[in-house]
Amino acid sequence: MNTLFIVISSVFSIVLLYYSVLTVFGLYYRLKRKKRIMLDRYPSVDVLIPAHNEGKVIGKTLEAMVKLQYPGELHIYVLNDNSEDDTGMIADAFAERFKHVHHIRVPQGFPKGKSRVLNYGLEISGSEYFAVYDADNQPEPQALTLLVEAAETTVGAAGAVGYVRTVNEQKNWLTRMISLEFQVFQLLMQAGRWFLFRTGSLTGTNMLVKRSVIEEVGNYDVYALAEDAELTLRITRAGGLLPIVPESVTWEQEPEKLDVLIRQRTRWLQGNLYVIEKMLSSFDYYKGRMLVHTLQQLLVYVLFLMFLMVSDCLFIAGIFGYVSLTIPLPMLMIWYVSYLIYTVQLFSAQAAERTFSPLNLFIGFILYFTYAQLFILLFFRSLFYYLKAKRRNTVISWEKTIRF
Amino acid sequence: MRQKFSWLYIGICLLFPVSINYIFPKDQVLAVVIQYVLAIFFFAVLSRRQGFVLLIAYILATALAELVTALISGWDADIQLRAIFHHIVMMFHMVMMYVCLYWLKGLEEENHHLKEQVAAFMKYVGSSKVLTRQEFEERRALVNKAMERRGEKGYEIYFSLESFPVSVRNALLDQLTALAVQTFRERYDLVGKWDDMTFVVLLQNTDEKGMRIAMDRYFLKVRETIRIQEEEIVKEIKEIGSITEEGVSS
Repeated sequence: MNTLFIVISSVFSIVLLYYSVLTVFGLYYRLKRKKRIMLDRYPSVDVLIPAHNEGKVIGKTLEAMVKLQYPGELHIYVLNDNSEDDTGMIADAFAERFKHVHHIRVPQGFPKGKSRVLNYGLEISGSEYFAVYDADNQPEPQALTLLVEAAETTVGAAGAVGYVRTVNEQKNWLTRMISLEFQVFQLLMQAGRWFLFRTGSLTGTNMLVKRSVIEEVGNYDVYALAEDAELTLRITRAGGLLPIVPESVTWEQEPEKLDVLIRQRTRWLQGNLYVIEKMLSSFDYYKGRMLVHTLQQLLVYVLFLMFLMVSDCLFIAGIFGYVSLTIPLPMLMIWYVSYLIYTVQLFSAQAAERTFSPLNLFIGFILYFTYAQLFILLFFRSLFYYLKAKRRNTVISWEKTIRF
Repeated sequence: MRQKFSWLYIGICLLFPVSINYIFPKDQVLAVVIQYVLAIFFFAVLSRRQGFVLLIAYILATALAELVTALISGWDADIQLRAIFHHIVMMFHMVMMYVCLYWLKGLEEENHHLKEQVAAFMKYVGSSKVLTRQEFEERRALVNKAMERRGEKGYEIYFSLESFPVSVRNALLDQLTALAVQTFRERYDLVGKWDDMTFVVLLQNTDEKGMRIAMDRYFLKVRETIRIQEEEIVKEIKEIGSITEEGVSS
């Protein structure tokens, strides 16, 4: 028993070291002033915006899209996936007035979801690059140009990935927590992995991919709910790089209610379980840069979950006197260092993004005890639905995020 | 700000001897002082961004070092608690030192920069070069007087998008004003946002023919990206400057 605990603690300490290193280098990359390299020629880009009942947000999204300052040929496609609200009407109004905006009605099909819609978008468009933006995104005017410049100037790049910020961060505590999570795990960790290992992950929005690359690796997997993670693996396997561009910013609306967040994250986690299942099926995922992605998935969805649960169980059992550990391990210190690293990551991100405020600081302190614990519930909810769908041999339905 | 900074500085100066004499054990004092001196040296020579990365690296590295020591030496709960407390105190010192040396200074610089930006944005709509209505009216009065004095005439053209659907009106207004800023002469002409559906262009020192040429050039530019006919925009044209009779309108 003692040996087991010592082994677990040692592994956990190595994981803590890994995340500390990622934090420091991610922060360094994020704060580093990068010289912008302008291009002689800007390649053609198609922006694909999958939209299903997005009437509440699509107007603002298109307003931001027509403000994109891109020096090359640019077309914006609203891929209307059988919306029943006024999405089509708004898209029509824009398409009627702006020459580079196109309203595309995607035919009914199966399975439902973003991947199938994006594949349809790829069929009807023909630019050198395609960019994907969710229907609730408002990219900054230079966002796309910066992505293209990074993709064109990085040797071996298959595309580029920008940064997603929360437009409704100040709405409530939940949106502040989501925003903080994005600042750390989507940007700081991504930036660290890119700086140290030259690996980046597609984020589903504010991302750019070369059309020639998608032709080589194949279209989106229509059964993948985390289509971005799945495509990232295929691109990495083919040797493509995905540089991280923190200066390319899009503003996205995040769930303002807990039940909406739970449904959204259940979908994401089911998508990640699908990816993990793939990872466990082949040794290819443990070679070269693929190992970084595999490690990331396994650390977050397997190892950390396990540690979190063991830590919680021991804590609760200890409080009620059911467990009294006599093992010679510095449990207090392990807990302190874990909490410190987690919190330091949050504060570093706040400092880098200049989102420091007394309330955000307070939320940084309590995030581990609140939002992070939600992960356990989300994981088991996702696992339940994932296994249920597997057992019944059915396709997991696409749960659309409700907009506000 | 400066006063708060001074109080913070005094606080840190007092906290240091207290920590050295009463918090850290005697055998650790030398190590603490060395860390202090090194931190002051590095913070003095590094930029604010580099200093911040160093601060975070220091916090994480010392915490991990404590953890490894605790694992190897098998610390009991008492020693762990003391080590955690010492680490928190040391971390607090370093953060405060960073705040003193960089952050407040940076905030002051940023505050100054933001004030300048706010002053600029009060003249323009957002980050565009389009004037706000108030700024436009102020500049128009000056331009008008100057034109009258020089015996010149000009035009004020109001473009209203009232006939367009609400869903695209904002986007069109943004695009049309941005194109107007690009098309009309930056040094002489003014472009301002009048209300939620109207913008106004002031053309200085030009006759009717010049005004028509400028308008044609503008609409040519507009039609490159936007499907719009000149007639769809409701225009009101006013003569200004030394000509006092009532202006034209369409």
